[in-house]
Amino acid sequence: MSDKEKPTFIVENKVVLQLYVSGMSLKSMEAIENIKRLCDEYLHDAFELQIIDLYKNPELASDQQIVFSPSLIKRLPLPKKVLIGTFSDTEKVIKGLSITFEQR
Amino acid sequence: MKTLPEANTLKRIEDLENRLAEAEQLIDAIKAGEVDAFAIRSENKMEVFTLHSGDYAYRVLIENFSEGAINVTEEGLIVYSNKYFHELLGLSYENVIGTSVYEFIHPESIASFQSLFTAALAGKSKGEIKLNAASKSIPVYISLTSLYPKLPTIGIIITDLTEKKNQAKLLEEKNKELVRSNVELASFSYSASHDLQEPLRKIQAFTSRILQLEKENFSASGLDYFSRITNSAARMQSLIEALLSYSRTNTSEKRFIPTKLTDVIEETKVDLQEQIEQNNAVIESTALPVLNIIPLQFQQLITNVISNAIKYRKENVNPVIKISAVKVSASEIRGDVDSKADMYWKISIADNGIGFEPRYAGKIFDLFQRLHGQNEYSGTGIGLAICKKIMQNHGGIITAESESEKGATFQIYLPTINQTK
Amino acid sequence: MKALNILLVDDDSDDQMIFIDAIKEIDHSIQCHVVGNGLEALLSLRTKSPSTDIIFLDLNMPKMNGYECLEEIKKEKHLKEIPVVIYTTSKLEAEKERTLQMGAKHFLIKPSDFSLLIKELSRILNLELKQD
Repeated sequence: MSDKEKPTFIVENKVVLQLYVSGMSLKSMEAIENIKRLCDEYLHDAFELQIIDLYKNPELASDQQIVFSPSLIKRLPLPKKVLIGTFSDTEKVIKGLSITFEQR
Repeated sequence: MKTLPEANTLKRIEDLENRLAEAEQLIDAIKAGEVDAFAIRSENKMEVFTLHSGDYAYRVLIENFSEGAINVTEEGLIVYSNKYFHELLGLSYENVIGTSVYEFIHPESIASFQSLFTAALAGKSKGEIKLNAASKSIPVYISLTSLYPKLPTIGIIITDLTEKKNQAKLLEEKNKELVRSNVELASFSYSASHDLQEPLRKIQAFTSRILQLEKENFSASGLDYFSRITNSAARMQSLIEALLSYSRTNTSEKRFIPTKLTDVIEETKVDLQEQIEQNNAVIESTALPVLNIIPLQFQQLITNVISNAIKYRKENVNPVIKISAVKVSASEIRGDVDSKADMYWKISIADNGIGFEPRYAGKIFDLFQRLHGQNEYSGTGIGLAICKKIMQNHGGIITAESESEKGATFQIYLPTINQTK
Repeated sequence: MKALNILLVDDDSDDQMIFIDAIKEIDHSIQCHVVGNGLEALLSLRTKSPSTDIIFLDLNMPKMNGYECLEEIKKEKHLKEIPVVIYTTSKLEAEKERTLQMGAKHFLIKPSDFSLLIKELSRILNLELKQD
């Protein structure tokens, strides 16, 4: 999508995201920056983002067998989606999470 | 319509496709080096593994920041030191690592370091000590944290205080110098004014004696000349006294004491009693606050302003002087103030006298500036300059507003710091 | 009235002249002896006859200043009862306090007006020498 084509977003339902990071690692810091930008630009207020540091709170990852850092989990709306990496390509992330938008 | 088993199969295929997509994405990410840690569940606990790149940023931070960071064992053996620490000591890494930390602590600080260390074993501690390096003593602030049980060491962050101490020392020296030169100036001013007044006194004493002895023998013009001599001598006397007073406003005590403004004004009324009575002057005031001031100086300021208000009266109108106070914000003040306060007390002293033209509102505070000749109104041209200096000493300012023949209002702005009403 | 003996201790010749003039103006019969410093003052006090009735003492003088002289006077049995008037240009409150504490009876700041000087001297002489 070029800038002109970027839809003005009303996300259908609130998107609930969890970003897993590992302390001060380079990738973690990049991922945080990129996901924050994604949320601001694409999701506006229609999101909930929880950033979980595996070093600080590993137990918050215990519902999974294995959790990578950095990784992004979309909890809602279903279906659950997991993406791994630093998320520098925002479009790919949106697509990968299967987030649907309404055009305004 | 699809049969149930078919629908189930299709669903299963969709699930598998999703899982495959996820797995492929994971492999791609790992191949691209986008992952640096993972957590695996084992026996209901999550175990975290860090890959190579995960620690990089921490290392860069600790190795490069401008604080010393070391790890020492319970016995005080340095098992890790960052670059800043050994460079602070002026030593190479090899000469620091594996050495007892006590070797680098100044003998004066050994006891305090030991108590800080003991406290740290129980948790954390912070304090100031001196390091010993190449016969130089380095003042530092250290923060100790026990890293047990994760690491069997005490982590210590070291902040160099040399610069701060130097600045503090410089400031102290400057202050001492200032006090010294103030004392010198004060004694110089005193002896200068004293020595200047001596010949004056004698001129006055001898002329008054001559007048007394020889009055009948003098011609009218001779007597006139004599009285002019006396007047000039008296004028010089008051100039010298005023100048001494002016120089004193800089060099004298600068202790601030909370004082009721009403008390200051009552004192002024006593000082100016004669002038007030002779002119039938009336001084009124509304509710006035308690101010944080240098009592003697502020007293002089009020006395000078009120004395002027009476002096520059209209000939056939008795002087009425109104004093009021209100709090204002710093933005209202026209002029420079030293204080960084947000709020000021604005004390207004308004009279009904002859006033002055607005364009002189600044000039009247200059030294030796007068708007009238000696024959119209007496004065040294120093009084308001003293007022200006006094307000500078208080971190405030004095301004004036007037129109010719419409009286004048003097505004004194005093910063409010812990003022009480 | 018995002839009075005044000792003036002051090194300034102008002030000496003004003082003597004023005293003469008050009472021509008063004897006024003048010395220039503390040492000469002590000498005069110890040896002169008849003795001094009142001392006018300046503070800033060479060889021995007013303070030192006052201290010495107050030590001597025969001299310490003689009233001492500090006669000075100094306006410092501290000096006034100190000299009065040391035993001086009056502290007179040299006035610039001649008639005022006469007034002050008369007042002090009347106070101190009332027994006459």
